This record gives sequence, structure tokens and C-alpha cells, in this order.
Amino acid sequence: MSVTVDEARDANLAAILGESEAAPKWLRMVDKVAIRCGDAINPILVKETRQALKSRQFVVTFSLLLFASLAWTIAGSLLMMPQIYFVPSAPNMLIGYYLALAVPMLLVVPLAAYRSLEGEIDDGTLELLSVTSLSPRQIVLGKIGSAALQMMLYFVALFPCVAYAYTLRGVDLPTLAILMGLLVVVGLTMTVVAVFFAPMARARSSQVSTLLVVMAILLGGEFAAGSIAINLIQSGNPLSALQTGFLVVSTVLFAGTIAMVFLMATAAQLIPESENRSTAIRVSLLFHQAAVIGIAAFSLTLGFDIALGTIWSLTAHMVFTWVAAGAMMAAEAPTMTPRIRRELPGTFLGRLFLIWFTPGPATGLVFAVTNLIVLLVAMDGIYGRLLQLPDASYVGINPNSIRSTIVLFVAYLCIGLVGVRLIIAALRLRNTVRVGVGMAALAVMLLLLALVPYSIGMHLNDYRSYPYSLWQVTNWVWTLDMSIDDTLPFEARWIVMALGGFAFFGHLLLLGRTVLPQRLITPKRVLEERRRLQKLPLGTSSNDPLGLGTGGKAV
Amino acid sequence: MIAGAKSLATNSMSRLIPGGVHADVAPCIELRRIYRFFGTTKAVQDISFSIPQGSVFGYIGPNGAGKTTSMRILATLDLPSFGEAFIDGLSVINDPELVRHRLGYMPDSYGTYRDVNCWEYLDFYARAYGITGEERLRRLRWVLDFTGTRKIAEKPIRGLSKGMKQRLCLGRALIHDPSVLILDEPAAGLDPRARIELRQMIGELADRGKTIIISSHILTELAEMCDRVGIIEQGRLLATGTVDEIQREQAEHRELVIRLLSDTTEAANRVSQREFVNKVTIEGEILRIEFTGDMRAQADLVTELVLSGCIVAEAIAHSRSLEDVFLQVTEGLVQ
Repeated sequence: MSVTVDEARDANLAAILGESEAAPKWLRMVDKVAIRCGDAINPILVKETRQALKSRQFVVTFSLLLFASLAWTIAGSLLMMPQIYFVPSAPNMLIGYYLALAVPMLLVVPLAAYRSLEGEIDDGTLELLSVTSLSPRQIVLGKIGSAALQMMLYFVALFPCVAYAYTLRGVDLPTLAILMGLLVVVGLTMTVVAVFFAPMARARSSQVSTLLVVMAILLGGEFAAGSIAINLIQSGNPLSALQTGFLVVSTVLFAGTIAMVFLMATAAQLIPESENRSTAIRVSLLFHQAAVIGIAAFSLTLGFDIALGTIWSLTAHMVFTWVAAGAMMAAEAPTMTPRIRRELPGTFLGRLFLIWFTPGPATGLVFAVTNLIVLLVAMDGIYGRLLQLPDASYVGINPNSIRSTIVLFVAYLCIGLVGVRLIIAALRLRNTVRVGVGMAALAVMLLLLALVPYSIGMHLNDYRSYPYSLWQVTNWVWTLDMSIDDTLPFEARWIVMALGGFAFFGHLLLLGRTVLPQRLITPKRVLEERRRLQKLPLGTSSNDPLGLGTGGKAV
Repeated sequence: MIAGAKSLATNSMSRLIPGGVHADVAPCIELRRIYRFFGTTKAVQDISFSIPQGSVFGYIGPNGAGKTTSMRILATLDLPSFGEAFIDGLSVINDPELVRHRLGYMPDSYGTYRDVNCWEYLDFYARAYGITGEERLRRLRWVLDFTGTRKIAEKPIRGLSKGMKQRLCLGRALIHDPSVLILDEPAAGLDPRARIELRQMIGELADRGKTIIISSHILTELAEMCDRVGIIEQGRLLATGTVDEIQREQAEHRELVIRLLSDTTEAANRVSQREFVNKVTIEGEILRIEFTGDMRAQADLVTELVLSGCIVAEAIAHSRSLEDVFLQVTEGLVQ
């Protein structure tokens, strides 16, 4: 019996739409189970996977990967003949395989994920997704999930080659596991970072510059990961079991929590203005801070040198994070929409303790500065323990100078963030201001505060070096440098601390208003509609990010 | 009922209750004093109207008039600078996720994906709206049949004609069975046959009780499709109502065509003495009277002719098309 193309197509469509009765009963049962499983998967992941597997980019990349790995297997083996039979040759083969795999995993897939989200914005399909039931977080997670799936396919495709390399001796299994783990963790983290940049540039001109930034980050990551990987392949794992454990745990913790911050920040860029964009980011920042402090404390078990490097690098990273986050939070809109006010904690204690998660520039400033203080105090404690280690050596800086400099730095930050608030408030009178402008405002302001008094001083002193004076108190670079050297005048220290303290405690006092009841009751009509859609009992609400049960009462 | 901007503006605020949802849920779509500014550009200014359930509302205006902006606000894609908008009594500003379940939106761009075929596209949106299992397959079958896209279900979207893409996009907007449809320029770029078929589909959807708000430049089609229209220019709503209502409200200059079986010259002399009559033309047994006034003035003219002994066989008030009304109401200004 011959079947035409149209008939076959109709039969196929009928099978897809569940209209065909031709399949055996057991197969239809399997189909139903498969459909149920498919329903549980993020729709974006389903769509992206369908798209990706049919895309030319995937076909070309996958074919090139297979071709490159096959070519290297043959060429590499031939080049190493006849030593390959008696000399351990796995490292040389593995370097080739790593290079073949790293290009799609660390460059092509993250870039494709970036382009995918950027394309949704460009083509207007993101708007169509926005009017569905999908949340921005689901959209971003779907994109990242699809990237992870593609990475897995590339990974699986190259697995036989890695197994072949292992048989050539010279690389042990733990090193191979670390190598592959490194590739996956770096690949996923870079995907999350790349996706974060996608919604930033909506104009064509800024899209080009954003793409360049993303490319630079990806190439930098590729280079850094490549250096570590090749070193690892050639020298083997130089770390002890404890150090290896620390490295694995800290890498997963650090990458996981920073990826969470970027994920929330990406989703926040897709959330409409009327909704709460800030709380989820603040919570994820707290998790990241906790992970960083934990890693720093854990590093004490690894000896002085490793711990010292870890503590300094993590402190620098977190200080930068809080300065950037603080500037962006200080640029948040001061007014709370009715939507956000419905989500506020319902009780006085709830408002008192969870006020830091409430969106707004005032809470943002206090949140960032408080967390920075917590970080610095924790790191100071860990640093103190570090100096008591048996193998501790003199590090050259007086801890008291560091502490007093830190206090000054925090004070400068408070002053800077208040300045950001004022600048953004002025800009907001006529424009819609994105929170990223806060960072730019802070950078410009700090630059001017340092350069202007210094330049005036230079001019007045005929462009010769001159001593520090109180006129340089806004020059934070010079002031902090003097403080580290313990040569800062007493008055300068107190002026900065007084201004910073005034800015911080002034905000803290002003926040009292936020602790007062201002939550709007969720209307009964809305609760009924939610219950109808989610089949949930009254009082259960998805619109409750802190799980405070704020949706229970109705008018 | 479609209320005018002024009447709504006065009583809208009094019905607001905490939480941003109003108590009266009678109109299906309601805009209350919506403003939208983009920098110094006032895209939408003080727009208020309401649309009852099951009606088709045509939104007319020149390019840049503010149609798409106000439709995007209704579709929860944009926020007004001031004002409130509701769909089925739910605020599009405060409860967008609830509104979206009741809303099908079709923008002026297709919004399709590469490397996806038609059924995959619809299947994806069904999943995105949280429709699962057998229900999703049922919805897919219905949409493919309704939009006539079953034959092309397995074709990649990039190879489809404009008409077919438009059908597919309508299918996407219908996949979750919304009660409200917002269609922005759905007939743009379609050939006459595709336009007629689209009009038929919209008519069928209206018969099924869907509330539809549709914008288009093809005014003759809108006149046939819509129960009511709203005319917008420079962000301001100039008129709302049926075409006749707007004509009656806006049009002062009318034309009455009367067929007489008696002496037309005498009748012409008689009516031309009235102050509000501008011009009288005799065309055989037909008298064409142009005058300034309302329906009352029109009735007076006919009554006068009858009472003066003229034998009036036929009296027709010249019916203005939507295009005539549009041209009269708008001034061709752009922002």
C-alpha cells in the first residue's frame, strides 16, 4: 500500500494531536506519560531545544566538534607514533580535546544564549511571552536550561574521545573529573553572565557595544579556564585531598550563588516597573555573601598562604559587589506601587526585620552599607584568626590601620550613595531612569570628588607636589592612602566619619516611616481570581515572595 | 455602552477602592483617564472609555495617534504615566498576571520564531499559558481548525505567506481561550481574500462572546466589523460610539435627498428660504438639500414640504461612511 506525502503528514499530525487510534494501547499509554513529563518541563526549554536542534548553528557546531575530535584523534595518534605505545600520551591528546570542546561550551553556547534572549527582545517575541503565564525567571531559566542541554550534547559527543585519551595513561580520573567539572561550571556561569547582558541594550548602537563586552568576557573566561585546564592536564592536580575538596566546594558555592544573583538581576530587567524587582536580588546577594564568608572561613584550614589570598580576593570581590549593588539600589524608584505595597509584611515585627528587602532607595542604601559592614567585620575576624595560624607570617600592614581605613571607606560610600540618590532624584524629574545609571553616577561622582580638589591643589601649588590638607577631604583616594599609612590628620578622619554617619543614621531614622503600616489589602476580586486560576485555598498566594502570607485578607 | 471621556472622568475616581481594583465589574474593558508620556511626548492624554462584554470596538486614528500605546497598556505591556485600566474588573497595572489569562494579544508584528513549525509554535504558547495534557491537544486541534492552519501545521513558519502568518498569530492569541482579544492592525498587508477571511473569523469570535478591540487603517472593514468605534488623534480620544452616533454628534452639515412627484422648483424655493439651508440642487425629480443642523432640522424640512402640498415619494438622509466621519473628526495632525 503506497502512502502519499500529504497522507503521511496528516497521519503524523493526527498522532501529534492525539487523534490517531492506530497506535497500540500500550504505546498510547507511554505517550500519555511522556506528555505528562513534558508538561512538567519549562516551556521555554522545550521551545529552545526544538529550535536549537533544528538550527544551522547547532548542526554546524556539532559537526565541527565531531570532525575536530575525530581529526585530532587520528592526527594526534599518528603524530605520537610510536611513543604512544610506551609513553603516557593522554595529556597531549586531552589538550586537543579540551580545545575542541571549550570553543562550543565556553564561547558558542553562551553567545547563542545571549543572542537568543536578545533576539526575543529585538523581534518582539519577548512581549508575547510577557503576556503569557511565564514569569521572567522561567524565561531566563529556560534559556539557561537549553544552553546546559546543548553543553551536555557536546560533552557526550566528546566523551568517547576523553575515554580513549584516558586509556593512553598520564592523566588520573580525579584530574579528568575536575577538568570536566571546571568546563561545565565555567560554561554555565559564563552563560548566565552572557544572558544577563542581553536585556541591557535595546538600541542598535548599544547592542553592538554590549556584544563586544560579552565577547570580551567570554574570551577572557575562555582564556582563564583554558590556562587552568591545560596546566591541570600537564601537571596533574597539585592539591591535597582537603585542598581539592575545598576547591570543588568553594567553586560550586561561589559560582552557584553568583549565578543566582545574575539570574535574578536578568529576570528583574524583564519584570515590569509596577512589580517588585528588588527583593529577589537582595535575597540572592545575601546568599552570595554568606557563601563568600563561609569560603573565607573554610580557607583557614588550608594554611596561611592559600587563606590569605582567598580572603583578600573574596573581600575585594564582595566590596566591589556591594558598592555596585548599593549604587543601583540607591537608584531605585522611591515610590511603591500598589502592587508592591500588597506584598509588604503584614505585621510590625515582619516590617521591622524584613524592611531591608522592601524595594526603594532608602532601604537599598541601608541594606548595602549594613551588609558591607557585616562583610568587613566577618573578614576582619577571619583575618584575625589567620594571623594566629602556626605558619602565619608578617603581612606588612597594621590591622588597626586597615580597620580605621575600612571605617573611612564605608563613610565615603555612604556619602557617595546619598549623592547618587540626589542625582537620580533630579534626573527622575524628567526622565525614566534605569538603576544602572546609579552606578555611572557613583563612578563619575567619585572621580570628580577625587580629581577636582587634587587638580585645584596642583594648580595652586604651581604643579608641584604638595602636602595633604583638609581641603583634600573629598579626595577619597588620598585620604584612604593617608589612613593606611597612619598619617591622616585627626580632623579629616572625623569630618568624613561624621558626614558618613549622618548619611547612614539619617537614612536609618527615615526608614521608621517604612516600618509603619502601609500595606494595601489584596482585593477579594483578585484573591478569588488567583484561587480560580491556581486551584489554591483562600489565603495562599503566589504574590508573596517572602512567604509572609500577605494575601490572606481581603476587602 | 460606551461612555464618553468626560462623563467617565467625573465618576471614575469615586469608585476606586484600596488595592487598585474597582467594585463595578460590568464593562469588560475599561480605561480611566489614561496618560502616557515618553519624555516630553504625550503619547496618550486623558483617554477614558469602556467596552461591554461581547462587543467589537474599532480603534481608529492616524499613525502615531496613540492607538498602539493604549492597546499595549491594556495588554499589560506598558504602564500608563497616570490613570487606570481594567479588564474584567482586574487592574492591568496591579494584577497583570491575572489579566493575562483573560487576554489574547496580537501586535502589529508577527512575533514568530525561526526553526519552528506551525504546530510547535502553537504548542509552545499553549504550554506557556500553562495548558497541559489532553486539554492542550484539544486546544491545538480547535485553533488549527478555526484558523484554517491544519494543512500547514507541519510547515516551518518562515515559509508562510502573510495571510497564513496572520492566521497563525490569531491562533496564538486564541490558544488559551481568552475572553478579551486585542488586535493591533491585524489586516495590515493582507490581500483582499485574506482580509475577508480575517473579518469572518473576527465576526465568529464576536458571536462566541469574545470582547474584541481592534485597530486598523482600513476603515470600511472596521465599519462592517465593529459595534462601536473610537477615534483618536494626537493621543486624545476625539469621539466614541457607533458610526451613526459619532456622525450625529460631530456632523453639523447634513444632506437630505428627497424624491418628489410634484413640482420640484416650487419645493426648492420653499426650503431655500429656511435659514439653516445652505444649498438646494434640483436633479430631475430629486431635490438635494444641504443644511446645517441636527435631526430635528431634518424633520422640519420634510414636514414643511409635506404640509405645503408637495408629494414626497422618498426622503433619504445621506449616510456618511466611517471614512467621512474619520476625516471630519480628525485634523490630520501628528505628534
